[in-house]
This record gives sequence, C-alpha cells and structure tokens, in this order.
Amino acid sequence: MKKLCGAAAIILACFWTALDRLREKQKRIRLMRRLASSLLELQDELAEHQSSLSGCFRSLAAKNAGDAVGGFYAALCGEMLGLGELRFSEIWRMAAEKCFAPAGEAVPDALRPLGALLGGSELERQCAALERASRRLEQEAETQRNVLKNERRLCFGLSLSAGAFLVIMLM
Amino acid sequence: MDPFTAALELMPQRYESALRAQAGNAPEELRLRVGQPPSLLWGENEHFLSADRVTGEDIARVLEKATGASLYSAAEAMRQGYFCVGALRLGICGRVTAGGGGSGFASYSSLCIRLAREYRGICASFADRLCEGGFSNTLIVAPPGGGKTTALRDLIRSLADGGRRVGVIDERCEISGGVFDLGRCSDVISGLDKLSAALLLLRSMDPQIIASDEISSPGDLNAIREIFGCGVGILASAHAAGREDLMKRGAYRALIGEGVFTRLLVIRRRGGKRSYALEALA
Repeated sequence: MKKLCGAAAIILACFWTALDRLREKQKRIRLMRRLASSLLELQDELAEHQSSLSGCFRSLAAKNAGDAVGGFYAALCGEMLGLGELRFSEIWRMAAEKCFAPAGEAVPDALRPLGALLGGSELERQCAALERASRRLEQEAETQRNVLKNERRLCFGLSLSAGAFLVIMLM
Repeated sequence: MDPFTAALELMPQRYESALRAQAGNAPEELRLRVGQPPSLLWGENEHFLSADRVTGEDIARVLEKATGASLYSAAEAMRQGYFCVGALRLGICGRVTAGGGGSGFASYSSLCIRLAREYRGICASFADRLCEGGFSNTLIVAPPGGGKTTALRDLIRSLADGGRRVGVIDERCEISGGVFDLGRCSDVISGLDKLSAALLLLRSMDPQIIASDEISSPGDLNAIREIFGCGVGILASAHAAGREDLMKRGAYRALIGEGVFTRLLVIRRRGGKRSYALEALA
C-alpha cells in the first residue's frame, strides 16, 4: 500500500512539474499579448491625442497594474524623472531589460528599436515602429503557442511515462 | 520656481555652477550653440561662459527634458520657431527634415531659452490713458527681445484688474506662461490659431478688449480684421523698431490705413534699459 502511495505521489510530482513549466510558458505568452496590445494603445494615444509619453505610461501602468507589463510602464514613469541625465532611449532599454528579462530575449529584442524612436519629433515613424513591435510580439506569441501545444503533449507523455517507469521499479 | 532656476534644471549638469554664478546679472536669455560655450544675454550683449563647448547631444538632451521626451507634442510649435514650457520660451535652429513639411529637426545647432519675466506695473499708467473715451486700439512695437510680451502682459493685467473683460489669445501659452497673473477679468484661450481663437472669444466670452501677441502672418492680420468692427477693443504686438519701421511693411501699413489701430506703444532700449512711449496714429 505504501509503495502504491509513493508511486502515485511520484506520478503526481512529475505531472505537477510538467504542468508548472507549461503554466510558466503560457504566462509568458499572455504577457507578450498584453504587451503587444498595450503598444497599440500607446500608438492610438500618440496618433490621436499626441499625449505626453509620461501621461501615456501612467495610464498604461494603472491599466496593467499587478503584472510585468504594468511594472514596465510604472518603471518608465519613475525613471522619466532622470531625463536630462539619461536619454529616453537608455531609460527605455533599462526598463525593458529589468522587467522582461525573465520572459527571455524575445521581448527586450522586440522593444529595443522603440527606445531610439519614441519621444522624437516625428510622430508617424513612432506610430509605425509601435505597430511593428506589436506585430512582432504577437507573432512571437503565436509561435510560442504552437510550440507549447506540442510541448504540452510531450511533457505530459514524458512525465506520465517517467512516473509509470518509477512505479514499476518501486513495485 | 523662478524662470532662471527652471532653465538651469534643463541645462546639462556640467554648466550648472557656471550658470548659477551669473544669476545676479538677471539674464534674459540662455543660449546653446554647437561648438561654442554657453552664453547668457543681459544688458544688450551676450556673455560667454568659460566652459566646455556645447554639442548637438547637449541640445537634444535639453529638448528631451523640456518636453518630457515628447518632442512630437511641441513639433508644430517648433516648426514655427519656438515652443513654451512654463515661463520659458525655447527657440531652436538646426537642420529640418527633408521637405520641411515633416514634423521635425534632423539635427540641432542652436537653442535659445528666453526667460519670461513679470514686471508688474511697467505699463499700468498707460492702461487708463488707453481707455479714455473708449479703448483705443493699440499696437505694441519693439524689435525681437524688446519686451513686447512683458508689456502686453502687464497691460492686460492692468486692464483686467481695472474691471475690463479682456479676452486673451495666447496661441502658444507665451503670455500666460501657465504661471503669470493676467488680472481678474481676463479670459485666456490657448492652443488655437488667432482667427479661431478670436471668433471663439467673440462668441462665448463677451470681451470688451481682445489681446494678442505678435501679429505677423497673413492669418494673424485676418484675425485682427475680423475683430475690428465688432465693437471690441484690440491690443496687439508686432516686431518693429518704431513707427517708421512699421510703415515700411505693407501689411501693417494697410491695417493702420484702415484705421484698425489708433495708438502705438513703442518700446525702446538704451543701455540695457527700456523706455515706453505712447504715440497717436493720425
């Protein structure tokens, strides 16, 4: 009976580990999607109202409060106080690296070109760059979602096989 | 915060102590030119600091800080030469992006920060004289940097504190600067071109006098013509050294010929001091 319980616990642990890993990946995909949609919101705000970047960041931080996207915009709001000593492009790069490093290189890579353009005098180029970055993040999210689908099957299969193997060994 | 301190906050940190040391000279302008040390204008001359030479990057940083990294929001004003941040007026020179119709500068070569100041009462004595027997439409004239906006601001305040409803067309927030007192009975409209602002004021605020700074373009002159004949007084300013100078320019000659303005307030500058003279236009 003890062996059976142990084997069941091992199967559950393997299953749980796989599930946890997949959940992390899913979270990363959701984050990319939210970031992509926030970039489009920023683009709309700039194109329609020519609002200041600080104002846009404040409202995006409030709207996305509690997750990394909100954290990113909140960090930008805070760091904007250092303008003059730091260029906006540096502030943008540092915030992107700090807030999205756990999400892998894809997010900072997609955001990097925006740092040099946002805040400049040519609004059309900024809006086009925001759209490009948003599209790139959406594509990356879609790619990762497809990978995740395959990984999900593989992870569950492997974790169950590993668990079953251990059960046999223990029995 | 006084305008000089506000300007210092925008400046590159390495110039701060050298600039601060000149505060006692009451500078009117701070200038950054690529390849030259920074300079300040007081009296009638520019005074250069013994400091590092300015780079294009310095000017870009100042502009980024002044606009909160939102240069696009000031792009339209920049294309017309300057934009205002509180009591500071930032004028820029450089290479405009191809076509000139774009919204920006490809690079910057000069930056002039003019510090708007409030000299209460400098024109108060003229306010009553202008209102004797009904308001006489008045044009304030002086060369660039001559103190037209400061005089206009003081006249508006004196008239508005005297109970006259003054509608102020403050296209780029230079008159009010967001910080200056324009009197109890003033109504300020900003962010609109002069003609739209004048029509809005006439429709909605029932002004007795409409005041506007720097009328120069054909659009501005049209706005003045629209106001003229509506039973509203006109107070405006224009670039000119004096009456003769003004009459050399066809557009102003026409306005004066049409009887739009009946008085000139001429500002002259000698030895760093300004004098004001009210002249009747025959």
